Amino acid sequence: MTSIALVGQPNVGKSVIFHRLTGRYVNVSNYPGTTVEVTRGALRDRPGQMLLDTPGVLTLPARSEDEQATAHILLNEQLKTLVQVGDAKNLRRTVQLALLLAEAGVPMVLALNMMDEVRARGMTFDTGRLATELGLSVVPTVATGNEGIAALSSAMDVAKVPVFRLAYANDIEATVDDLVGMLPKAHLSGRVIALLYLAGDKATETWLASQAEKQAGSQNIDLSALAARRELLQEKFTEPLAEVLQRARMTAADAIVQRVMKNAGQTGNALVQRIGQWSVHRWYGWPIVALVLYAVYAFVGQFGAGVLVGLLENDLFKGIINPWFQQLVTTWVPFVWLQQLLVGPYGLWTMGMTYAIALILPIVTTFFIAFGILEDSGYFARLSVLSNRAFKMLGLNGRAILPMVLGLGCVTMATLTTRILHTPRERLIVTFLLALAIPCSAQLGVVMGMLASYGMGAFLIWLGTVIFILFTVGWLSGKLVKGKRIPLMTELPPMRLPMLSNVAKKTWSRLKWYLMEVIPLFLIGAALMFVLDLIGFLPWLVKAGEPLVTGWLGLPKEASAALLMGFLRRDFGATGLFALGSSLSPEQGLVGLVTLTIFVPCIASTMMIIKEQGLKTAVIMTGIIIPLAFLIGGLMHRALLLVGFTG
Amino acid sequence: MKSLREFAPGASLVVEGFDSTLTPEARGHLSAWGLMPGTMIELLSHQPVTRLMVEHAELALEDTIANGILVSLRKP
Repeated sequence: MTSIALVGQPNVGKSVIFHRLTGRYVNVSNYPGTTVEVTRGALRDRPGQMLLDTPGVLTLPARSEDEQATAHILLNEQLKTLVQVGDAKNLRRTVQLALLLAEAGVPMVLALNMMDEVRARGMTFDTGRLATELGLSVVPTVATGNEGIAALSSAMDVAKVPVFRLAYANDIEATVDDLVGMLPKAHLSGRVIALLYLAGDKATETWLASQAEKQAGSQNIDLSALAARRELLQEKFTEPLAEVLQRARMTAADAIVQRVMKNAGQTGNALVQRIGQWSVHRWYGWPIVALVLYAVYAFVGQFGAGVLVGLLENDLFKGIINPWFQQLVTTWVPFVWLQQLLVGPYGLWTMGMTYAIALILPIVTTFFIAFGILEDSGYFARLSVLSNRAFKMLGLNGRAILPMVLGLGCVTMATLTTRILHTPRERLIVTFLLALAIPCSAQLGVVMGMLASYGMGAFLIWLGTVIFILFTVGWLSGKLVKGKRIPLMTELPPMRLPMLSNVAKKTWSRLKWYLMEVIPLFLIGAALMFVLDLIGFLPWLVKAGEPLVTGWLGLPKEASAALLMGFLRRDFGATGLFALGSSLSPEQGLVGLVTLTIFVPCIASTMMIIKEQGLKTAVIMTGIIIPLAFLIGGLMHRALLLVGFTG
Repeated sequence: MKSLREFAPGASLVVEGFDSTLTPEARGHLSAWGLMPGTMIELLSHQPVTRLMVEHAELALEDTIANGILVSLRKP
């Protein structure tokens, strides 16, 4: 089946256009690097045709793993049409990428997105003239407002191969002509493959090597001859070829933009943009961080975990639903063991469903709303500026904050997002820190809920301890993992007022995914606990774990069950502690929560670590994390006793 | 022609070139954002990192990178 690919720079609205054209919702965020894998979906009005949403590429050659995924699609997919989605207000940069893609030999359309921002800045340009200059259809769009989407869909139907050729320097043109004759047949034009190869694109080199292997014996692809030709050309320039080619395209893009631009507009200075400036200010930035943290704490910890959980757990479940259901089961179910399995202390309903619906659901809902608002506003990307100095100590740069903040939503997805980082070293360290000390949304919500009942002091101790562990272990990892640190270079997306519909859509999509994953796992967890209790393993474990849990951590022996549940999912374990309620002192609650925060990541995250980093690395990480969690928990217990902490 | 770090925030500048201290990767990245000789930029701040506007995009660059960007004042 032939496909249509959406290609473009990061944070230009490809995923919103994908959603408009397919009806499939994918995560859309106001920062670069949200899409790290290719997403496929059938076109809404043409179900037989697939649309591909690709990770953003600033330019080609690809620089990170997510960018390489896009280069891989271009080289390996039989594309019917290429739709470049471009940021209309950054026209020069958009045209620069179009100048390369237009020579790919594939029918192409350019969607100039975010035209609302162009209008807000007072920019005007001639799209008709731009279309003529590039030899392709140009469709202005505002994807978030569904503006121009019908026109884009029609343009995709009649798209033609652009009539365009950029003239590079004579030496380059001669080498490209030579290379075209030496390259295998491909879906893309030989000219574009030659240009990508000359620029040192890794995905192109891999593709060529695989083609050489496939075609060995029939049509020989002489990789060493290709490399020699590239080296010969490089000798004629002092700068790397990638830069020479890029400059040629940028110069041409400049000239085109000058011809089509009528008014270059002004940078916006609305209140929301000024807030964006303050949020990265060396002094004002930190009070804003504190304010944001407090707002999230009040909304999730006090309102979600306090008010809403109180209504659902105490009033609805414990007060009405559970007694009614227990009555129903004891009346109609003849077997005691089955009654216990359904409504006993480890019952599928009384533990599994009550935890998932009454405790977790209100907490994650409030967290996802708060997270969606911050994500949509563009605030997260600004944290990379403020946190850069701190991450420098870990041998990383501020960009590492993005997967970490995303980890507060879901550590599993955040582990995948480490692909936006530029080196394997950065990815390894951030993956480890995610597994170690970043609590996911559900766990964080439960933690906030419990800590809210112990007071702000307890919350600050928990936060301080986790941050201390994160930076101490991170600093050690930075020293131990070999490789060079990459300095911060990042783009800050414009601050925007969050769109209510987008936040609602995101919250709903995350909740749907969360409940689909959590309810079965919580039910399995409850059933497992029931079986372990039935066969006497749980009482044995509680007794065997006493020296560690009661002696070392100073927790009541019932907390062993919560720690065991933490192996399945950290939030399941935290909810187990939450359910112990008043039988835990504030000191015990704090020790339990710190231990569980550092504890092993959930099963899904572990699988993702294996996928991204390999089994050996995952085993080593787990082997470090479990003893460390107990060590910190025990030390904290002693420290809190020493200072006489009572909450 | 001076380093970007030598100008005060608020300055309107033109990129003249890059210092040899910048790695090819860093130069590649900057050029991908459109920062090349002849590009006009607006310097926003130096702390906590250097921030600048190129076209309508805001970039944040650490000192070592900003030091390697050579610029001159844009003529009115």
